[in-house]
Amino acid sequence: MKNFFNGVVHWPKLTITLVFLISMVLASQVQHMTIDTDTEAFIPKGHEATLNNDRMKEIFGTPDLLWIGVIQDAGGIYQSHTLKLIQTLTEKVRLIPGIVDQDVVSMVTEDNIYGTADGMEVEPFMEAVPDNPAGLEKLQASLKAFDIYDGFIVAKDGSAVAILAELEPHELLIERGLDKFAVYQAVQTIVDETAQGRSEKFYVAGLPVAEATLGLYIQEDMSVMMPLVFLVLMIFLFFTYRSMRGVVIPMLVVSFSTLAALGIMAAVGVPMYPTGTMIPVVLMAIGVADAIHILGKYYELVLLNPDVDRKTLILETMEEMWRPVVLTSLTTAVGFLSFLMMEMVPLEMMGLFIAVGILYAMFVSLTLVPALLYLLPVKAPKTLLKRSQEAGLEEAGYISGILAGLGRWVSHNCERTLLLSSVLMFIAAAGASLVYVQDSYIANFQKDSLIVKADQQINKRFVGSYQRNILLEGKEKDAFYKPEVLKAVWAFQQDAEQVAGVGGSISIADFIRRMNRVMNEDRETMARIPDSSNLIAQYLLLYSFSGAPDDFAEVVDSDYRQANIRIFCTSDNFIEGSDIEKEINRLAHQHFDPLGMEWSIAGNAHIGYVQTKMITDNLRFNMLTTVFTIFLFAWAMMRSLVAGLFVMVPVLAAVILNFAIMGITGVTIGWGSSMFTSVAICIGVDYAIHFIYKVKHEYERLPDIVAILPLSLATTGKTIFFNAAVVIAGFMVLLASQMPPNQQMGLLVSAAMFSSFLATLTVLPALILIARPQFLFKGEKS
Amino acid sequence: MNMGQFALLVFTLSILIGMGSVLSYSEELSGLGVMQQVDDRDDGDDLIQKIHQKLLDKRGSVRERDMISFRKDYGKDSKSISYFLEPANIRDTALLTYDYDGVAKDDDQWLYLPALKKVRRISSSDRGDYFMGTDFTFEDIKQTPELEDYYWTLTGSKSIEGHDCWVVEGEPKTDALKKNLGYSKTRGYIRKDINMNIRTDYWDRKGQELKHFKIIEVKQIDGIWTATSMMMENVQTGHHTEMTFTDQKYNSGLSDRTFSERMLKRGYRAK
Repeated sequence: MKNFFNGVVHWPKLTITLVFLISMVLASQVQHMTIDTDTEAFIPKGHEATLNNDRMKEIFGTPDLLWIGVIQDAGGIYQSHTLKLIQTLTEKVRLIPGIVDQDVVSMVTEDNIYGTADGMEVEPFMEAVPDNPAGLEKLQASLKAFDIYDGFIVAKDGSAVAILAELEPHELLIERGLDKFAVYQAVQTIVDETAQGRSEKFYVAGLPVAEATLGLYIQEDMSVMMPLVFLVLMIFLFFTYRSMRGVVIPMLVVSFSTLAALGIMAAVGVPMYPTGTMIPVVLMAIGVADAIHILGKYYELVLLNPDVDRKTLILETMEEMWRPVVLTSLTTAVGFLSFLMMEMVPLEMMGLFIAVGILYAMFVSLTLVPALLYLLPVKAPKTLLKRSQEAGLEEAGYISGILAGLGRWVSHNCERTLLLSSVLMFIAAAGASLVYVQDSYIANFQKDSLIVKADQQINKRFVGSYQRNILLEGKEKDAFYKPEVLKAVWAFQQDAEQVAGVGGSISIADFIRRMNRVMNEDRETMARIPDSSNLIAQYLLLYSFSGAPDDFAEVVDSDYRQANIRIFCTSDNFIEGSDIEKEINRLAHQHFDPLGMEWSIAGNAHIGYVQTKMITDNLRFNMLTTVFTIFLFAWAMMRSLVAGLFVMVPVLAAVILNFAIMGITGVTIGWGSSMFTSVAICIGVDYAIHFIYKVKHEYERLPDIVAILPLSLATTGKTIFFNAAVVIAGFMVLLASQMPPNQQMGLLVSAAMFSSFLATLTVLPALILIARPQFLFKGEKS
Repeated sequence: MNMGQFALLVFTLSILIGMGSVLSYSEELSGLGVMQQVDDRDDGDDLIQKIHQKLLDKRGSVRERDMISFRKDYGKDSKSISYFLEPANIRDTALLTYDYDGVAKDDDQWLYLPALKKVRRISSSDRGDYFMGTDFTFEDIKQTPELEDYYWTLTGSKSIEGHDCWVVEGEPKTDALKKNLGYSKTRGYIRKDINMNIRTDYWDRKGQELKHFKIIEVKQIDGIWTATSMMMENVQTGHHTEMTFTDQKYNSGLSDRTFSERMLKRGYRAK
């Protein structure tokens, strides 16, 4: 290693140029980055829920619906001018490129099935807008009478109309040079234009909207928040070191490693998932550390040896620091690599590329940093110089003094320190016990954002924008012509609609019931499944003279062997979702098992539920895996079981305090918070390793532990303090973010930094003093 | 120039322009002319034939139906009755249609449902509505579209499977018609020798390719050129419909009583 650093310092400009070039080549790949906000990305490809969902999409083509809600609270929607607006808006939406024209659903496009004296009529509810009270009343009555549309395309209380649109499949959009974002924007633009000067209120919601908006927010948030975090970090770094060197060097490490990680990610074709925002964030928190520790040591040596030349000091700095830098980097990287066991691709990729970035940061810290230090002249402030030479490093500055004082207090009160910490942990445990699992896609947005309001309005007025689908499979062709099968479907639907959170449902049975009713003088009691299979076939034939061939394509396949029961739910929140899932499962067993039919659950709400369940079910395993991986690695690297355990102290403290903060602030376990928790575990390790190395290093020079502790705290402790302070300050900026997950991230990462810092500077020294571990005190009896 | 000279000049000019337009008569047919010939093609005064319908979706699942159909022309109007033979659950279901030329009067259709033992009138459908779950709309299923509703342009000739064809593009005249028909443009290939439209491509209202129609087999039966196999494919949904026609009998002198409600209920009895 010595030769290596000699080389670096001997050819500083060459080193800088090389590192710069490599980084830029990697960074240039970032332009190939693609973005993927698909909710399904979280679930592994072969998972049952994804398979069922794919099957559903293939057979019934029921992708997620985009809901446009038009609300007229003044007098309801049955007014000619409002209906005219619905008509033109529907027409405009149908013509938007990327929207499936024939699959747009509203009272303008949907067919009413009704009986006449001598036949069955199938025609749109509203072909021409009625302009007289009788016509308006008739329209209202016809929608009210067709039970599946009441609440679906018109609010039950007549206050709102829905226009539902489907996006073309992903591949087709790409072919046309479009994407979800563009289509959603086009819809929003048309809705905004239509809304000009109108008394109605307009809302656009649905999962494609949430996905598209989340994608946009990720980009926006990245572009606004990250420079801010960066800026705050730089300001703090400047005030810490009072030199450009202290700002530029850590920031270069962070920027290069972030760009390299994202560049490699883009180059190997991994898309940016919502979790990808964590990559620059974590690299900022951790990448800073390497540079800061090297700088800290370098300044320490400068203060102690003002007359020694730069080259010698740099070599000495690197000689002492390369081990902890490599060890912390490897340990943290291994911690993040343990994410690869998490089964969920976005989390796996996040862990993998953070690890890549950390290793790259290590590479930059060991090359670019000494080279730059060599090129930049250094001069320690005279006052500091004087004080540190008279009173030792412990008194070199205000913060050093306080930390040295803390060190002295802890060395004389180690039992008390541990007891106090225990009390804190007990309190934290109480807070942590308040944490529970709850998540929803919509919770990723601010409560007063347009999208949350749209979601609330649409789910309040209509059947619900979150779908669960029962895929029901008969044994043979034409199974869904059979009265007993259709009756079971209808019975299932009636029961399912009683479940809290279920707003309504649609199946082929509803259409058959409707046909039977209108063919029997429109008697309400005849809205049931007829007893003859032939009659059902003949109804459907009759229907086919006025309806389109794909009218029932979303509810039954063309063989009538498989059907899709669409269940609409009013929220995607996890707790309600798990009750609904439980009930639907029970009801499906009850109604379909006796007929020997196969069934499975699909749909966006189900996918969301499965995803959250996977993340939260796995959180325990994930946390323990990460902790254990780090422990094993630290043990192996430091060749001491006890050292491994010691390294765990700040890590575990960080986890417990993080949960406590979640419990106290009401943050629930969802995909965001569980991710931050896993990340937080990896952050704290560094501190412990640096501190242990410092103590070890000093002890080899002067085997007096009571004297060493204050010194270690005043030097490495100070660096840790700077590190924590700078990063916490930067991350607190995230509390101003647009996205609640980013706010949580700001809070939880800061908390992790703070608790790791505190534990490293108090609990760790106290433990060292009490336990007197072998790995530090070689030869001494513990 | 006095008044007389001026008048003379104007008159000469008018004669020249008049003659110019006389002499510039087209040596080619117009698009409308071609379509008129298609419309005028002899298809017999009446016809009995069996129809086999095969509906296939993109996943390859198949639905088949067999019918026997009777048609008789009444000048430009026509009447037809079709009995479903297969599948069993719709056997004896029968469809009676009175097809009126032009757009002034809606067609009349009745369907007899044996399971209900009742005749049901089928509402006058939009021309762009799909016919019995096939990929044909009511407009497509007719021999020729309503000529007056389109602007027809003859764009050239092309050889299709060895037959010299006219290429005629049709565009519905108004936006309302485009919406009603579901098309923004059609392009037909008409065999010059027999005036039969053997291929048509359709574009939807967004100008995206929608459907392909193709006559697969043409035979001369009783001296009349008859399509015996055809198919329509929707390129957007991957759904397609094949229709084959057999046992044709032209000009057998069907009586008017064949096309009555009584016959509709009585059902088809093979002689």
